[in-house]
Amino acid sequence: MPSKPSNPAPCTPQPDLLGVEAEVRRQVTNHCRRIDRNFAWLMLLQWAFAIAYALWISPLAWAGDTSYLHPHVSLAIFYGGVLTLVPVLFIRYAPGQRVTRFVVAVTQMLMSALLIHLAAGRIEAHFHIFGSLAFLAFYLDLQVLLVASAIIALDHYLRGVFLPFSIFGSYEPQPWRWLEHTGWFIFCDVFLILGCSSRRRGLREAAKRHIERAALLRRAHYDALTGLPNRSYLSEWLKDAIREAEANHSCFSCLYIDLDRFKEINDQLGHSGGDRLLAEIALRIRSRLDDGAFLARIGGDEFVAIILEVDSKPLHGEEVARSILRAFSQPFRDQETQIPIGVSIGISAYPRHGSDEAELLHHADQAMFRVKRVGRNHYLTYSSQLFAADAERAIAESDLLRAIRQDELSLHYQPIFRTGLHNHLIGFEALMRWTHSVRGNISPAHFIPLAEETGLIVRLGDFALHEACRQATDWRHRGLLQGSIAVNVSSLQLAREDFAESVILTLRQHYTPPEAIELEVTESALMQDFSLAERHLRQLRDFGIRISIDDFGTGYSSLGRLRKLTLDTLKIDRLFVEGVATSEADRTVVEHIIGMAHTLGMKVVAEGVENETQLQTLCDLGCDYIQGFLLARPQDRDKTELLLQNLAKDKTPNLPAP
Amino acid sequence: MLGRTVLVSTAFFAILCGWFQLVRFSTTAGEQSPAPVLLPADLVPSASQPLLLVFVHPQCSCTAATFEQLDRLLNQATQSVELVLVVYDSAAFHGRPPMDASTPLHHHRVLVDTGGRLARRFGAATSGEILLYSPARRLLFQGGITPGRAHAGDSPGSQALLAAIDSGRPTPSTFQNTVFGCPIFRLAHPG
Repeated sequence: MPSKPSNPAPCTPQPDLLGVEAEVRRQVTNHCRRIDRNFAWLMLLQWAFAIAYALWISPLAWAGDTSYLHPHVSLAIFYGGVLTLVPVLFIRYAPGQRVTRFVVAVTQMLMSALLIHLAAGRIEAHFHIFGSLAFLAFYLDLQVLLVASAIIALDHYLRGVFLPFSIFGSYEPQPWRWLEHTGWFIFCDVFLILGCSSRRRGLREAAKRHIERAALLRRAHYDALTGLPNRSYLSEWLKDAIREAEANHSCFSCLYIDLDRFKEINDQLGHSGGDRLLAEIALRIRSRLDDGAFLARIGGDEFVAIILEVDSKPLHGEEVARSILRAFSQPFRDQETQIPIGVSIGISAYPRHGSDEAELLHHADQAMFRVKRVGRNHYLTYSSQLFAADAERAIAESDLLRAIRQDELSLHYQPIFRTGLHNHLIGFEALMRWTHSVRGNISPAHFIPLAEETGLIVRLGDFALHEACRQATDWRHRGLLQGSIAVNVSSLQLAREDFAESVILTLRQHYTPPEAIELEVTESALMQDFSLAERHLRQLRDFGIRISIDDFGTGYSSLGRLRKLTLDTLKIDRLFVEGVATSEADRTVVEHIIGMAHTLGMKVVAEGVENETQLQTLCDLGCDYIQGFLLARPQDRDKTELLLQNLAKDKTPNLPAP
Repeated sequence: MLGRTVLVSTAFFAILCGWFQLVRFSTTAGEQSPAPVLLPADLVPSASQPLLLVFVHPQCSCTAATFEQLDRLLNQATQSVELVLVVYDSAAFHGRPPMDASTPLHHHRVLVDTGGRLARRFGAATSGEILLYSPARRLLFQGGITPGRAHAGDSPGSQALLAAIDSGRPTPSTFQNTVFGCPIFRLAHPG
């Protein structure tokens, strides 16, 4: 057992003993294979030499006038052939194996004996033995060396007993001569064995260094959890793959695979469960790839697979992606828990979608990200047309972020009036406006959808609520506002677990009474996660905040569910208001919406009222509140405040038409 | 595995057979027939020193061992001898390079034995057969002096020849010395 160092460096890998032995065996086997090949050629040459030698000494035997092939020549051919071809066959079909080394040793020593016999026992011929032992020592196998020495010693002993003249040049057995010969072998063996031992020690040291280096490389290139190559290895491998594909005019696909909802699952399972999940994901993906594919874990729950194309078919990557998705149809089982899992896969192809590794990965990542946005658990192949707008979107997103940080956003307020003879002001709807430092006013129709796509809508919504609360508190404090300010809420905000708490906290921060704020939620946002929305709205209503359902009639809602919610106001979308005076169908719809809302205890606001006819019709239909350009456009804070001041001064709720 | 076992077993058997053939060839003595006890007078009218006749087949490579051993013996012997090489000659050898006649032996005569008449007369059926006659024409030694075919070295025959040369008398093993070499003629067909 190797002794452990007393103070190992923290990062020094401790070579596994089994690994060292296995590595030594591997190196010895490779080394012996090379020696075997050399021995095969040596023995073939040796055989040819034995035949040539026999022919040179005595090519023919005679009996009177008749000649025939000398028996020595026949023996050199056939007996020498057996001693040569048997080990050559072993070398050919079992190279590097131990049995081959033993066969070579035995036959080589017997060939030495044959050559000595052909040379009539001349002492010079004995040098062949020492040469053979020296060659056998290259195997670094002590047992082989000892077997070879035993063979030649036995041959000398037997011939010394039965054919002494063939070894010692005398017809009498000479034991001391046999001892002398044996002593020379042992003398030679000692040096050879010492050399073998030294070489094996060197091999062992080399094996240890090789394993240490391999362990370091492994840590540098492989992920410890899954055993897969890591990002840096992927980068190097991809560069080589691109070089090779370029040289061979071939192509490959790059699959960017991301586990869906990994953070939530990881929180549910705990870290050890999350690790087990990642290990199983790696196995499932790997099981769908053939041996030529390359799979790497590049971080977190992200994997990249490189698929070599089959017959230059560019869609092979998609086939593999479908196969991978099928692998995730089964849930992940962890102890008693079963969790459905899925992956989103983005695909890019070389050379169609990129000529270097960064570009390929980026495009595959873009495609994967798009899959995430549109529903997850699917795959998408990158295309430049599809993602042309992404570049512009990225710029716009960056611009919007900057706008948030640099206070280019503000709220405008559009008044809402009660219908009836005096059009009494009941409150405002807060609308986001962006005054770009260079481009001026940016329409909400441009930046609101972008904010929703990028998730920045949450920050915008938070900003709007803070600003509305601050303003409402200020105006109320100054006696300017008796009504409420309605703030729009996006589906992303509603999806947050802490949405209701954050709204309440915001009101408290600004000392805003709950009746001063109204939240407008679209029917589509309500239906996305109804149970969560229901919980939020109940909590908010219990706090005293009013809730209205916005753009009613344009989304997909379930009336059965809606009636479970206790809502204060229903806002009819401008789509129906537009035709309320001219279209019988729209009028009928609006009439029924108003009737339904009143039945459920809600007030009704009609948005987008632009003319007197619409106003009159809506009043006739019993609509409670009106909002639109006919009565007032959205104004900034100062103008709105001026309006409120004038109303307070006049002590009248009536407003002139704009 | 079975194939490997069959191969090894067959090879082992072949090796044993090969060794058997090697040993058999090396130790199989040539044919011999008794030589004349008295040297015929018509062949050698008078001799002042012992006459050593060495019968050789000119193409037999094994006989080189006989020459090597004979040279050693003659250098050890205390008495000198007259050395005659009786070389078998036949039309079959014409055009073939003979076994190297520049032997290590010195001061010898070469007698060409056309058709092997002399070899038959002296019963020297095998190349390497040596006959030693005393000056009084008595046979002192007959046989070979090598321990095995093509192997120089000490043997009962070489010891007996040396004793006979030095003593000038026959030894108890004079007529029991095996000779190893190519046949000059077959005893079954003496010609």
